[in-house]
Amino acid sequence: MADKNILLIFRNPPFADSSNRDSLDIALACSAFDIPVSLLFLNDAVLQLKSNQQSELLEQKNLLKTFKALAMYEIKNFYVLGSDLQRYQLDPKQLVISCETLKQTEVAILIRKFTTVINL
Amino acid sequence: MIFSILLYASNSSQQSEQTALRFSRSLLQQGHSIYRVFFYGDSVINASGLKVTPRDEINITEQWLELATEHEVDIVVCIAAAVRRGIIDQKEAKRHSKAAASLAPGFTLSGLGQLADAVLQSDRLITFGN
Repeated sequence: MADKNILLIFRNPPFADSSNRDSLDIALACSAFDIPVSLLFLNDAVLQLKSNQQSELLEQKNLLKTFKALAMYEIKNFYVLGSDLQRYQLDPKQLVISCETLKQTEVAILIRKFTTVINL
Repeated sequence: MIFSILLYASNSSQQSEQTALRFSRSLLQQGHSIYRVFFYGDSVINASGLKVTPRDEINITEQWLELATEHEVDIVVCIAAAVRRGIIDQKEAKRHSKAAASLAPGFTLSGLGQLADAVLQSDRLITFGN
């Protein structure tokens, strides 16, 4: 079987549903099987990465710690769209992990680099 | 080509579950093979043995089992997603001190490692989400 690599696409804001947590769990499982994992955050999903989320007010689990711990699982490639950051007036420095900022046209090029893409 | 199917529909009334089933049948008809069907998120409800489908509607649980038996397709239900939604087998019922099991016979509960394995063993992974 040819070498595999996987891109997980996050599209939903934090706390809206369980898709971000579920995608994160897939990332960890694939990494444990030595599949290189990259994460792409589109649209409202950039908000998932904003630091200082006070999830305890919603009585929900906070995923930020897990995102910060991904480096220990050799998951280090994160991508966001510049236009999404602009829309929410976010500075890349406000994100809990260091992301590469892409232009719209670069997303298609990125996706083509992966043998497997999961978009829950 | 070897395919695997990832199901993630958030509602048993959504079209995507039936689309996934029809897509799987088409693959097999065209001579492809399916390595594994993995039920994740709310789609684990498919594996409930306690659902009662009205007689004039399609019983999707039975149809998956039929497909699995006929074509020797491995069907796996994510254990973490299932347990939190009340889809449990005898072993989990005992472990969590629940009155009864609900997993339909023919389905297997297992971890996300089975999905990672499916990624490695298949040429294509197709997701049927929301």
